[in-house]
Amino acid sequence: MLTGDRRIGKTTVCDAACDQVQRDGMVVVEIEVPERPDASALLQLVVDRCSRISLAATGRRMLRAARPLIEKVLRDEGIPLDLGQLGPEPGALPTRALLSLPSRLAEEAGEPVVFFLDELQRAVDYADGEQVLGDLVDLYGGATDVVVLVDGSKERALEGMLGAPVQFGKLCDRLSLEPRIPTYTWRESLPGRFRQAGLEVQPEALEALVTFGDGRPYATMTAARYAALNARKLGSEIIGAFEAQEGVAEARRHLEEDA
Amino acid sequence: MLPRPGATLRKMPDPALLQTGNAEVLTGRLAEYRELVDLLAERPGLTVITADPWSGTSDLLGAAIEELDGARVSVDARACADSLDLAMAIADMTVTQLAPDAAAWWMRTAPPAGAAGLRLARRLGREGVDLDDLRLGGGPGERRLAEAMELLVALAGGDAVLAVDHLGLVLSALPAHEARQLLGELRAARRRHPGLDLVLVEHPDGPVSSALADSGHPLYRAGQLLRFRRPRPARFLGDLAVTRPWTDGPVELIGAAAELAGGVPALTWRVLELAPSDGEDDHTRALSGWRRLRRMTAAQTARQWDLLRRVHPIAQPVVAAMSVGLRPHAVAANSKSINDALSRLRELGAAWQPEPRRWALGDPLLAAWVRDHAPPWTARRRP
Repeated sequence: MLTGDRRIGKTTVCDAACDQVQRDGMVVVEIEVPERPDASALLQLVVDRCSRISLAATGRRMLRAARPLIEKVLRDEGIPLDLGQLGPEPGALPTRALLSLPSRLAEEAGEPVVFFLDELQRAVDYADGEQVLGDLVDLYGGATDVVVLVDGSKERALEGMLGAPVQFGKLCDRLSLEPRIPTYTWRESLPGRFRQAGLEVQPEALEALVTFGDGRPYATMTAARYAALNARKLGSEIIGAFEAQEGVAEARRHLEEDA
Repeated sequence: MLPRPGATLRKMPDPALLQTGNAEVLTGRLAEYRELVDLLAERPGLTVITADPWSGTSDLLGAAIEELDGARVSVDARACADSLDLAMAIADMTVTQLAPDAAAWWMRTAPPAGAAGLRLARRLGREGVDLDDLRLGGGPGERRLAEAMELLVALAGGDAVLAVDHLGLVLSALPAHEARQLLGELRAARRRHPGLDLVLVEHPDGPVSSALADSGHPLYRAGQLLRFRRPRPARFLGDLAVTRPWTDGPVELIGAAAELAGGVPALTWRVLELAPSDGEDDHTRALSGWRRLRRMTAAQTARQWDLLRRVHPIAQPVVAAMSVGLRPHAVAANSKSINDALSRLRELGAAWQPEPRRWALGDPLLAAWVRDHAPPWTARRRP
């Protein structure tokens, strides 16, 4: 469970980790937990994502049969692919069977599956949120074939998940993401990021951006984006002191408006 | 997010723009147009435009999107009541623009087993996009909205720009939780498809721009905000230095028309069209054109006034006050009701704020009509 303030890059870190393990052959079931009164939309997303994984991995022999597998599992449980057919009552949903679908994928693939739930704290507010979170703990608390990756930002809601009765701590280790990235990391990596966008950043411009950002990801990237945009507008491929200075000024206005 | 690596969309260089320019769209809006094209070409992910009513932003956006390379789809959300309508509008426009041979099948005006339709269904089926509910409009709107995005990305081959104009109107009319869900779905779709760029247009201080600054909202700091104001009439004259080759209208006449039309680009050019070809001077000709325009639209404008009764119980008095130069709060009603009425009128584009703490009517034709037909009480309170 990766936690921290909003817009500091939690999801980016999780996405990067998921990309890496996907390249290593693991299957990732990624879901952004929706804001809804109950879990029906979340569970529908679990069904949809699991059903589609076979198509995304057409070339991979191990998962070629995944869609029939998911359909078979659901049929055996008497669950339609469209959960809307089950009726509007939250209690009518076979929550546990649906949340276990990533585990069935893992069995079929013979590889661990990463079950990434972005902004899971939203489930705390579901009418049946306690049941969903409790089922996740029961299903995956001792499992080794499914890695549950969670990120969330609302501190109070996350605290609520970790305590009784959900005891989410049995399922996840909590990692707190620092709100700042050290400035030396920015100095090392930002020029490469500009190069990817076809731009060169001059040392004094880089220093201006890094100093303004003071390690804060959103502020640094906002200034970098405006500096890059300035260079493009001026038809230049080089970000010099002028472009950076104007970029910082625009980022400062942007952040003030946000506040 | 920095400009996307290697994904900068091609845009025409300025000299090419000069050849293909459109005076009606660009005069008075040249700076905004360039800003928009520069920004969209960098693929910023999510761009939110808040635009004053009657500011010409729809045409400007259409022209800017046309300037970009690659798949792009524009939807006018005014026809949509909820997320299901929006999903279907996006899907309809996507098929029409990106798979035109299947459009008749999609709209069910061609045989159900038509070859183009079968090809489209097979292609999307391979990518896991189920078309039936989206095509027929069944089931939950948020799910269909996600499918519409899948459809767009699949037909575009991964990279696409989707512009939703007048989204603020839809969101303002929805219950708050439904508007939040709709925006949450758009944000989730953006995350699922990094090649999808969204451009959302709404009125100033609308729900999308508010969401960008709300740390509890799914859309918090998720995109770039652009603020487009209605051009001041003087901007028309300034921009004519560049757009002059695309119009044969006399400069003075255009300037006078822009003044009469309160800087509304669409009305400025209609005044120009209706102005007599000869006459005393350009100001008199522009005034003749403006009067003709008012005569031609008088019946519809009167109906617009009638319909205000259903917008809010005190919408008519508030509009009457603004039309004669009174503050909205000069109306004999409590402040909360007046603020509610202003809020409703702003959502509909009927009222706007040219500057902080000053309100004006969005439509200069309505303002002029109401001035001529003002309720009796306004005569006793005029400043």
